[in-house]
Amino acid sequence: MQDVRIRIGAAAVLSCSAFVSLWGAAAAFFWFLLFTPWLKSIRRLRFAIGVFVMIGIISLLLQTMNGSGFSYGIRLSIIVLIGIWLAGEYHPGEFLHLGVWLAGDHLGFDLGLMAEMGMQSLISLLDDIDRIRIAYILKKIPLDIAGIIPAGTLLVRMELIRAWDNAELLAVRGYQDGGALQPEFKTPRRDIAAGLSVIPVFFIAALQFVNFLYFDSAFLKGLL
Amino acid sequence: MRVSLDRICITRDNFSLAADGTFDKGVHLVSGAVGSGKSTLALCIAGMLPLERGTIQRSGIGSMMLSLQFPEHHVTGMTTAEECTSWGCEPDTILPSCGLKGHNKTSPLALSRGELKRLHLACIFSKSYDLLLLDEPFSSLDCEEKNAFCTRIAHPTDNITIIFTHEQSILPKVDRIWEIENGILHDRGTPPDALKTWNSAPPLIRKLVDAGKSPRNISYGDILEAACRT
Repeated sequence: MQDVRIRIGAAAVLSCSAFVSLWGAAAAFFWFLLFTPWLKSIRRLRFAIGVFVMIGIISLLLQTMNGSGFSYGIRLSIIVLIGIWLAGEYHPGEFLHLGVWLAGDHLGFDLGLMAEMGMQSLISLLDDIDRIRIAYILKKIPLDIAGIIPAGTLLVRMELIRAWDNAELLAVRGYQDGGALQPEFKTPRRDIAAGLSVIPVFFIAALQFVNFLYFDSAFLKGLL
Repeated sequence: MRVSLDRICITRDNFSLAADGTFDKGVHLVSGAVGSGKSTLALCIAGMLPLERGTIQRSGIGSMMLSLQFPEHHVTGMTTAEECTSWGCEPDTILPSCGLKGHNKTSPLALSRGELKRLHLACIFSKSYDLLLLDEPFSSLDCEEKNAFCTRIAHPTDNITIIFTHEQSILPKVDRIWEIENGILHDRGTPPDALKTWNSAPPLIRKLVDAGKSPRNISYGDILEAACRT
């Protein structure tokens, strides 16, 4: 999906839909299979293994406590999948265009710049993690608790150095606040179709949610 | 002892690299523009990246080391002494040899990148590896250090050393030149013949070749000798 506006909007609607109902999550997953290069996203799953493990643990706990863990696990996993797709589709500079389009040359530019720097940091971080893992393998050092401390320190230090470099660069270029930019977006027909297709997903989720509120929710029944 | 690349192919998003060839004992130079795929190829030869197609055979290779471009990525110790130990080296020998005497308790990350690179290379060269892969070993080094590195590499060793670099000024004597161009690894052969077909050759070497004064090899001494040749 090339148009960042549609992508972000679709991801927001799909995430909300998946969060509020199991049917919404199923519909969001169907949309994910239909409109995204999902095989590419599946390959990136390794970056989110930790998140999936955490979701799994919480799901197990919820399942044993009140039986809602299964639904929680599915819904959260779909949201993470959408997040992986969203991060994978990122093209450098597009958040700056989105920010200016949304909120103008001052606030929008600053928000866009922050988002850009955040994304660049995330990409660098993933690259650093990959390289550090390789270095540990080369030195035949296990990446256990004792090994994670210097690796973690290194990651933080490198991020701080990069942040310092970025700050210097912005200062040298005379940045104070805001900036001029003519936002540009490419909107192919497929993007519009994909964007419009999130509406039924939202309604499916909303329908189940409303159904839950009126007929199943003990809380609401108590209120009424 | 050899490393054979059998029609390997690596693809990633909009990037692809194809390579076919054999690295025998000696010093090999793999050159190419920034982003041409040198680091990717180094990682593949080290077995750290999966291949899309083809195979890499490492015959007679008992020990292997890959030096990554940024020395920070190799840091696993909280002090320079710990860092030396993590490489299996004696800090009291290594630290003075790279100008860091008395820095035993300094954090490796508090060193400048040049200092850290010196420490990193000193640790690597204190050991002998059958296959040594050096990704951009010249980056962050000053001219003096680059020359020292070239002298160290020039010592005849019984292994395979592959240098991946886009360095254009100070280079060591090499046995074979390879070049990544348009996503393909090309074997340019042995110097001086290789210099005629080496497209990303340093400008000075290119000028000398064009003037009919081809250097015998690509080291500073060889270039100087060719330039002064009458």
